[in-house]
Amino acid sequence: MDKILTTDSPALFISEMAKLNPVIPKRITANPKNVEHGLAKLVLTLIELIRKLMEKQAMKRIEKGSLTDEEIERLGETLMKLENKMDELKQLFGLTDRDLNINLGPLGDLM
Amino acid sequence: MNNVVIKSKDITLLEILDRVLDKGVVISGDIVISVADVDLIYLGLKVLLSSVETMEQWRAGTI
Amino acid sequence: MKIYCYSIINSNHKLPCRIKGLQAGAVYNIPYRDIGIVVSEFNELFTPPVISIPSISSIERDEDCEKNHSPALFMPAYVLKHEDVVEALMKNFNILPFKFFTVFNSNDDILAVMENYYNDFIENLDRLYNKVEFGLKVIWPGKIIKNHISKTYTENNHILPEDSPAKTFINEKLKNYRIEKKFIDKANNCVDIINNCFNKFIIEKRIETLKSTNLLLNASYLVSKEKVNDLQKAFESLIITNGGFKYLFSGPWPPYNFIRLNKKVVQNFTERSMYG
Repeated sequence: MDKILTTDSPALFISEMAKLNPVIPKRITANPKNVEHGLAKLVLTLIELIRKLMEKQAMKRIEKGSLTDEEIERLGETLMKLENKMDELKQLFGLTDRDLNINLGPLGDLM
Repeated sequence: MNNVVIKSKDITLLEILDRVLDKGVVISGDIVISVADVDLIYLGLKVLLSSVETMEQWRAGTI
Repeated sequence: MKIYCYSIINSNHKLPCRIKGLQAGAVYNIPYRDIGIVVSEFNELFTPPVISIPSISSIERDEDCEKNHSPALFMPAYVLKHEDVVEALMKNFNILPFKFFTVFNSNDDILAVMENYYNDFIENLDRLYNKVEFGLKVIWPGKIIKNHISKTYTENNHILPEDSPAKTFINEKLKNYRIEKKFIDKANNCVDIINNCFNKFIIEKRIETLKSTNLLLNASYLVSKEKVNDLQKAFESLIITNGGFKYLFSGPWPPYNFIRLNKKVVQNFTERSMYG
């Protein structure tokens, strides 16, 4: 059985796959010089993950229509504050959204 | 659609990489958290330490 | 000298033919009970020339790329050689291919792994007997589709009255959530249609939907050798009926995506006595 590899757009696949092929997962290194930075990245990544999950859950509940007007208002205010706070922290540590997206190898990207 | 059978090395390589880099028999996990360049999590596992260690040395160009 | 591993095979005999592996090392089978592990000696002090892949280097990369990418990306020769060896073995044996660059320090470590994983290896060899893997990748105009969904998004009476900054914030998030949901639903529908073409012939599949906005599907299909022709014909009819997308179909591959190891804890090899 000979191996086949067939496509009509080799260049397109090459470019798409090359973008997505992280090899060894990004390491979270902590050395004396940048231990704060490494930890900040780890902590902020986890907070971002939870925050995004919370936003998603909030949207689901609003769509379902199971929340009162007041609850939606409070949710909105809190989520808004959280987002602003996270933006501040990201700026403080000089981290972009990209920096916080850890690759977990076979599990794909964190977010 | 013009289907082309590819002898292109690049795409063959990418297809291979897609499979061999984190699939197949994997003796241990993939996330490494290190402190001061010492791989803490896998210290007890000579198997993976060897491959990570060697790869790191290659990466750093110290071999 | 270290030991580079290519695959587990269902044989405890010498290999029937001479195969050269990485660094032109002789590839041989180390028997363990009724199976074997195929290896070659590996000199880790020998640095291969750094070869980058021309078409990939011309693609824009971020500056961390060099640090975060493994040297494997710069050793295409080793990767290709690994795969050559694995596929040569596949011709004659049931195989469980190793992940690239599984290197052991010593025969003791290999023995320990064989002892620890024997049952897992046997189970996988049996399950994967006479089966091969095919890959299908599909690119669709994801960005365009998402833009279209975004443009046709209309304010409706589910949107909240914008009587506070919080409500405005929620409206914006809600809009994004709905666009994203519609996009993902559409992707899942397309993926279902594609998979339906193959479901009759495949034993198992691993699919990743929307690995990126434009990479609709990255699928691996496990199929028995007798069904390979059926699978190929199914692919040919798929591209006729769904010509709008771009397809990459490849195989047969060793069953990299279908190996399941249960062992979670690995023994601490440094404590093992050489004499058991």
